[in-house]
Amino acid sequence: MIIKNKKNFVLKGGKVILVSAIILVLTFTMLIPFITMISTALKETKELLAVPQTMIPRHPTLENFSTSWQAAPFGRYYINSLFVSSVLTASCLFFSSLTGYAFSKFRFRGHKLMFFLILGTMMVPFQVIMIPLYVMMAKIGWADTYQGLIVPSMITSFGVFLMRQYIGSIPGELIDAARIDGCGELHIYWGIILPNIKPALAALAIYTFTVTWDEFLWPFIIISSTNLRTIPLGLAMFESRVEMMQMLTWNILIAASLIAMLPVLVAFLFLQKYFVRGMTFTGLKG
Amino acid sequence: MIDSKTRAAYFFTLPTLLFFVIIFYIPIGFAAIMSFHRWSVLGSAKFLGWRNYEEIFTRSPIFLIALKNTFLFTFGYVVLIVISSLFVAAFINKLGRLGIPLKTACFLPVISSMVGISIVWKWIYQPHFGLANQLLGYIGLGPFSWLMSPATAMISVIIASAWKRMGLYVIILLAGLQNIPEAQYEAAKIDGASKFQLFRHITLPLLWPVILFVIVIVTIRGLRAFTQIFIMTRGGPGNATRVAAIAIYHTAFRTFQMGKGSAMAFILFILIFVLSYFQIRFFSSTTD
Repeated sequence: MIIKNKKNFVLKGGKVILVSAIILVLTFTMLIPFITMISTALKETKELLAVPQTMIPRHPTLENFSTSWQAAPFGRYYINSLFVSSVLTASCLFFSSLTGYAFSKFRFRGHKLMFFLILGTMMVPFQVIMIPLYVMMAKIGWADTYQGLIVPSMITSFGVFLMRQYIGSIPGELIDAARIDGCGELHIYWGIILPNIKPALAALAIYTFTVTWDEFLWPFIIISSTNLRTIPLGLAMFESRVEMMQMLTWNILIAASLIAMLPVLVAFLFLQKYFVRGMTFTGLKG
Repeated sequence: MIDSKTRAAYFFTLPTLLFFVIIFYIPIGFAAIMSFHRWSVLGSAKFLGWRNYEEIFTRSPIFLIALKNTFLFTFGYVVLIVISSLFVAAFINKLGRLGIPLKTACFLPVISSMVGISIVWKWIYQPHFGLANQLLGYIGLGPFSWLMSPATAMISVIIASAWKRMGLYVIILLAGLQNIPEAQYEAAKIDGASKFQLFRHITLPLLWPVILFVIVIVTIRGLRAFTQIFIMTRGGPGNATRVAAIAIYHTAFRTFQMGKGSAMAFILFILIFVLSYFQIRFFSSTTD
């Protein structure tokens, strides 16, 4: 059997089998936890405690999903996560592009120092600022609030850096021409800069949304009420509650995890290209 | 008098700068001050001078253990990720379109919920019912205690963490590999170079900046690791997986020792900084 791939390698017989085997093993290794998730979530508790476990449940059931949905307010967690991530993504996009534009296309006193100050924050691990941030939020009454959760993450230096890089590739003549035409500065930002950086905006949006959706440590510190919890926090609390009660109900727990993870996984399968670009920023020109 | 252009520039940048001053620089200063005090948020702060730092290094071994664990974790994490993603990327590079399903499979863990994945791995590592011991049993190995025993907990956490993240670096290394011009290989092949020589003299040197980038990034990430370890073991059993991030969290938010927690955080900060600096210097010098 002969297979030709894009590079026009001609693989003969035995090598095909070897290569295919390796592909299968690697793919399987990466996917096994997901397969386990689906399998476990569909199992009745009796089957859960059977040794050995079967991959395909003998009596698949959907009741774990309904049980976990009722056991914790996942609907509320979803809404919170959606709200928080959307706000943070919008904010990040806006401020990063605005500031990145200024650093990229303007010369003004102190711009080098300012950029350095902003970039410098990337060096600081969150552990250093999480303690004082919590104290600050608590002192102004923002502990256990949406504002306390959202505000510290509204702008990222990474976003500013990225936008500055990307906007650098927009020809200055375009901007100068608009100025000569009498365009206001904000107008230039809105009408010229933004449309020309759509790929970078999309990538940063996906990246920011994904990262903020999965954020655990800060919500864990700042949020104590159930109805403000985001998905990661809600799932973690659910897990510790289940574990505390010593219920060996892994099927319910895994079903809950699946509920928590499903939207992102589905979004990924449809928007894969954008996800990869967003997380790695490869393939972006500029 | 500043013109409208410059005015706009300040208008665009000052809010952001102000944000970072309030969210980063003031807290950093605050944390530094706190680290020299004993403070539990309620009540007043007591100035201690260097005592927090002294205690961390001499009287309470907890943080030293945490630092040891952090290095252990990070080392295993980096080695596992770099080696596996390098091999997988090199393999996928040869596959062309056949590699697409594998690329997707690699990336799926990267964008999945860290908490969710940690929970699944907890189940996989379950000694009696979990998949890990079941699969290993088929080839006559095990059973292992995985997360339940101090001896195996760290490696378990490392494996799960590396599995989750490596796909990202597969893609990054793949991009690096694909940037190497085919012409280089062609020329060397004409000169009769073997596969190994091709790898050593063309691939490795040209890919090295990317590999270095990956090493530095993954190291920084490993040193700060919190969520997956916290969910899987809470730092246990005992102190087996108590890494710096967990120790800091515990000290500040469970025992309300804000001062000591801040001191620990600063030590971690300096560690990350110094390590990254030396990594970049050491590895950069090997490219010459």
